[in-house]
Amino acid sequence: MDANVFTLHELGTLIRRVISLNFQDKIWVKAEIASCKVVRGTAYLDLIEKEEGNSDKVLAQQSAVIWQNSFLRLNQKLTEPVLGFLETGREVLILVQVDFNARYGLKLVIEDIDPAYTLGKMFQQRKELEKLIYLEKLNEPNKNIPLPFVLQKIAILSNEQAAGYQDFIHQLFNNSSGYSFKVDLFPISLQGNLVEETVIKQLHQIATSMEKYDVVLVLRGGGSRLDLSGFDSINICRSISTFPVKVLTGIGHEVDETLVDLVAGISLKTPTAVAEYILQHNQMFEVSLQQSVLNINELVKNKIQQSGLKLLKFQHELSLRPMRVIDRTYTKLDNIQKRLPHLIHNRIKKEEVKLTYLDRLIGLVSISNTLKRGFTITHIVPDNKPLDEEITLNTVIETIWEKGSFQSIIIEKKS
Amino acid sequence: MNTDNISYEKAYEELETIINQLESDTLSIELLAEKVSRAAFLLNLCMQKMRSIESDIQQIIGTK
Repeated sequence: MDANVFTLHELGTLIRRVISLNFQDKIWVKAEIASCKVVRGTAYLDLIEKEEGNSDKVLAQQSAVIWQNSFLRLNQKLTEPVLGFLETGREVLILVQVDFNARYGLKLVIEDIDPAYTLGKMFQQRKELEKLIYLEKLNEPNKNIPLPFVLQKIAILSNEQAAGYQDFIHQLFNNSSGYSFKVDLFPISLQGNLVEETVIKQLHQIATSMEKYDVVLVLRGGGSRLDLSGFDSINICRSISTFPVKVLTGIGHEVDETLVDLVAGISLKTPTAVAEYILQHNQMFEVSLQQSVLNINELVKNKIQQSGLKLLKFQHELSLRPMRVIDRTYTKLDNIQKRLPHLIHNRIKKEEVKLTYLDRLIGLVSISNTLKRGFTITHIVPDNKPLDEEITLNTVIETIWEKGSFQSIIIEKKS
Repeated sequence: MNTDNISYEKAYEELETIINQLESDTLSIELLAEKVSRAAFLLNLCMQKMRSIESDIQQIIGTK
């Protein structure tokens, strides 16, 4: 056999030796997690590096592994669970031993993880997304949606197995006020890459559901910062900001705040706090109802009192006014009664005066009175005709005077 | 004319007319006795009506 020909194993052994010689020390490497799979305590990973500014172009790719003992050791050492660092898309700074195996090829054996690097990167990304949220005003619309007076039909984005969800349900349904609720769970992934996809899908489901929900809740119990980072999604934020129903969040513990919390209508610290908020909200409505009942009673009482006073006043007037009218009328009638005889007497008196005057006038113009005053009456005999211009000589005339009469003959006529 | 069904207002109005005629000497002497008799009747009617109304009102207010 040609001495220049290697068997595959020989070549593998040679490569392993070359690599061992050149990579005696462990090396810090920064990379992005492309995938991670844990089998019997050992994590198998794909690491990649993408071109800066072009996330589609992969510049380098390597397989990596965290052996079971390292995995356990790291889990104890780090404040965050190791798996939290190994989610797809995470940027990590890892201490690796470059290893070549003739059968399994080149592998980076991960010995350590620098949590500060990953968390720092995340913090930076989060800061930028936060800026974007305020720039696009995604934090406003859902806050402006009013809450219904009573919250009863509730859609929940969470997971049945999640402790936070169980706490919430327990708190909500064991309320001392005896409020009842209709709760529909829309299951979502609570950590990792599926958070974004499932939340957006279920929000759509709720929006198109026949049920008109009073409020939508996003509930997740406590977890590491890496666990909660699924809720730092700008796409979820956009969905919530345009969502037509008020969204309440209770994600993590007291100190945690995700980007979703920023755009939610109301952000509360924990799922239990959300339950308390809902109960309090409903209690406020009940109290305001009771207050309204009291107010109505008071108003009605006042109204009745006022009407009573008015009636009393009317009653008083009723007892006075008709008698005044009657008194006035009596006075008028009395007046007429008194005046009537005078008026009749006057009327008759005036008529008598008129008659007396006429009588005197008639007396004045009578014949005997005229004769008494020295006047005479002359007429022609025998016809008693009055004298006229045709009278002739020798006509006999008779003259009557106060004491008697005498006859004469016309002897001369003068014109 | 000489009916008892006449209302107080009508009776009083007629009474006033007779008084006015008496005052202004427009009442015919021929009708004087008749009108004075009518006036006395109307006056009496008004008085009666008033007494009846007064007693009714006192009864109503008294029982309140």
